[in-house]
Amino acid sequence: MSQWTTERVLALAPDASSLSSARELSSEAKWPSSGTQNHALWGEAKGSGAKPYQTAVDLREPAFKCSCPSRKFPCKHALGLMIRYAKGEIMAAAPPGWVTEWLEKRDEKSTKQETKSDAPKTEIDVEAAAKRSNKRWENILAGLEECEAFLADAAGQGLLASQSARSWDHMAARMIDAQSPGIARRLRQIGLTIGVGPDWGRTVADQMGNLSLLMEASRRVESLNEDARADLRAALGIPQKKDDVELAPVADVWDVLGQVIEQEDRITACRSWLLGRGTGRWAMHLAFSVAGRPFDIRLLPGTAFVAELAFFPSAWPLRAHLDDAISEPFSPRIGATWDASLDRLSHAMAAQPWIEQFPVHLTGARFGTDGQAWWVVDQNGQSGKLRGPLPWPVLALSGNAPAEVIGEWDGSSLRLMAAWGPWGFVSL
Amino acid sequence: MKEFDNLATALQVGVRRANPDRLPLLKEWTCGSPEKACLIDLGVLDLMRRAGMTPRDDLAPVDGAPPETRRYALASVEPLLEALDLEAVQAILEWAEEAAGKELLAAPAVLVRFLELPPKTRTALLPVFGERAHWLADLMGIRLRPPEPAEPATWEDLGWRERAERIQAAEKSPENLPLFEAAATEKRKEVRDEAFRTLAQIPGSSVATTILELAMGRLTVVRKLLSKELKVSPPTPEELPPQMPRTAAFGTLGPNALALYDLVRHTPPSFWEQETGLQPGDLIALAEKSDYAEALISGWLRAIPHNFVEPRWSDALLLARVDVNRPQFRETLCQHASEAAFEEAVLGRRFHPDAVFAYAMARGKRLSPAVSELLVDFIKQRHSISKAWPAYHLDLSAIRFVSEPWPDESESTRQHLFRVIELRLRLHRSL
Repeated sequence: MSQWTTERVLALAPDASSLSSARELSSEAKWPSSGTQNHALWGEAKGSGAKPYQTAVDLREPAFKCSCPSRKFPCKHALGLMIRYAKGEIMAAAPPGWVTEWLEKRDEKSTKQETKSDAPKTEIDVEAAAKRSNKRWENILAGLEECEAFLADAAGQGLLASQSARSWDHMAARMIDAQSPGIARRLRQIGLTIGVGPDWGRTVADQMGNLSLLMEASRRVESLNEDARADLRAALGIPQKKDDVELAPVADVWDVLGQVIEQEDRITACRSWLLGRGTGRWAMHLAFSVAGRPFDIRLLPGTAFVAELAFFPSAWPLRAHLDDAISEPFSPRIGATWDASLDRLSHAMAAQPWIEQFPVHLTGARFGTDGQAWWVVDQNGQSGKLRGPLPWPVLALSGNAPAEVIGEWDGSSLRLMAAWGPWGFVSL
Repeated sequence: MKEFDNLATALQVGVRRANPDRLPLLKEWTCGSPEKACLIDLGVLDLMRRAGMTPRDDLAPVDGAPPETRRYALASVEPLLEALDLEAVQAILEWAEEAAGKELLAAPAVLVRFLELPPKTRTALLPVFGERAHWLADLMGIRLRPPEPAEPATWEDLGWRERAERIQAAEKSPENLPLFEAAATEKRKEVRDEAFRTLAQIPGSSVATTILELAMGRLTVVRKLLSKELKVSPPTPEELPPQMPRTAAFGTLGPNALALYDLVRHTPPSFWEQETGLQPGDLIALAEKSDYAEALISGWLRAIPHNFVEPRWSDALLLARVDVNRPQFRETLCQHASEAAFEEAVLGRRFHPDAVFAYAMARGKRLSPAVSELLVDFIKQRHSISKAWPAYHLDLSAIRFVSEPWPDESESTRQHLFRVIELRLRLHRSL
């Protein structure tokens, strides 16, 4: 339970206003009653109505319940209550009836799910799954044919004269119908890039070329080995399930080095990058959330845990599944140079050409600028361009002294995720 | 890569319109349409580029931050981050003043958030910005100090508003007399009035001398057996200097009383002390009993602080039995009165509660523990009072009055007060 700190709680806030409201609600005066027992935390918060709001938290996940009308998740009451808990202001007590009832229901539901997943699959199940998979693949191929004609038309007419962003959106929607969200995402991205920025022509050429290769590979799927097929399926956006993971998990102490949270329509995707302390192996934990539901708190950058990670099949396995974990102090291995990192990327791409984000961890890194963009310079004086958040918090803390820097490389630029040094850890 | 650029250009203008001689890779492609061939080639070239990427090696990192000469207020980081989340800017400014007094600097962990605050707030935080903050601000392209003022325009180039402003801003010293005297003959009345007011404040100027000559003998003390009386001889409007700004109407004052009011507001209040040999409090008390009470008291209220800053007079007016609930008191008294006088007036409960709030706010400084206690009591009873600002002006000892629950209708106000005062207290203790 001691793993909860104010910082960790604040990381759960769905937006800045929730964070500010939660701070307001973290005073004792707002909570006429509150208590905790084992993994349960609860309290009654005074609101504008006559009846106080009943707020409960199951600290295991965490899961939240509150009787307030807020649609944010977790609401400010749950966050305020958790801040008080993190500060050690909540005393042990026996939970009231409404809390035990909620917890019992949760346990019941979880037991049911476990029983269901533990049940052996019947022959009928396997057959039905194969049938569904074949049907999906047929849908994808049909969609790809339309998409190929669309791309050929765009290339033939020229991007300056052809379709508007709306038509790319339209095609993307068609690919969603064809059960290929990976292609749909790429199409939408192209539509948004055309005509935007000084270098859009090259960027779109990259994106369209990459998409065409992906479609060509899909047509030749039979000639690919199992791992390459798995990579192709993932690139097409076919969901990877927990059951798909490799049987031999990798045990290690995993340091959580960085995290990127991106909004895709109504879904929020969170990529957490982990580095095995003993094995030196990289892992990427991918999670999705709707309606602002919080992500796994164990994956907070700047923390570490002991766990067995199960990797999804791939010619260059990165994505992994996490079950149980025991927290550990953060103490990652040292990083590399740009040369070594890009060399590793070359090998990775030779095996898995659909890699979109690749982790880069530099040691002794400093920041420089060419007047237009910021660059991260390694200890050998070699540099890579930055995109996304600027390095101000890192510079404020380090004074541009050499630091460990972690980012996501997309083939052209680095999205800075975190940095650390003797001055502490900062996540961007 | 030239091939890639040629293909990317072809894609923009249309592969069907592109010159095939400039697309050698395309010609080699044997299956599918030229469009498809172009796209596949682009994909392959993109893969080659990404897989074969080499880092740039001609860029130097920016110089590191210079060393600090003062210590960082490291223990303040957490409460400051909380204050930033709550947008409690006044609490941050209060902390900055205290930290600067102790020669401490804002710690690096809060610098980016501080530098992202509005320019006015950033300027107020300058005393807690050290070398690191200035270095970072330069990198972020943020200007911490206002730009050097441009060369002042000549008097002839200025419009009447700028001329009036320049007079207001100019130092009231004999060196500037030629400027003020020239301005006193301006065409525009606003400029003339500003010049007159300014000249009246410079001892020895022709205007100041004229005013004092005119004021002489207007107030005399008549001593009786058991009491004193103030004899007032108001000037007639014709006696006033022609360039003196006149008040068209003020309350129920007649023409002579109005002339007296105009004379009093342009005369240094200390002059009347010399004239009568009385202290400000005694003089005000006698003036209140005179036939010209309204003209005299309003004139003095107007004279302070518009024309003459005299804290003794502010205190005397505040403590006198004049109607302290007049709005003029806000400017006149509350900015200049001493803390003791303000406290005495407030604790005497002579103010309407709303006036106390307004005056306390006008002072813009931390209130004494006794006044704070009284204000908290007002707030508790009058829960409708805007809750936003008092929390930042109350003395920190007021925490003990807002720690226990209040009646339901004022409880949310109490919680707000508690939250802010408790945060200020933590910021204070962190130094």
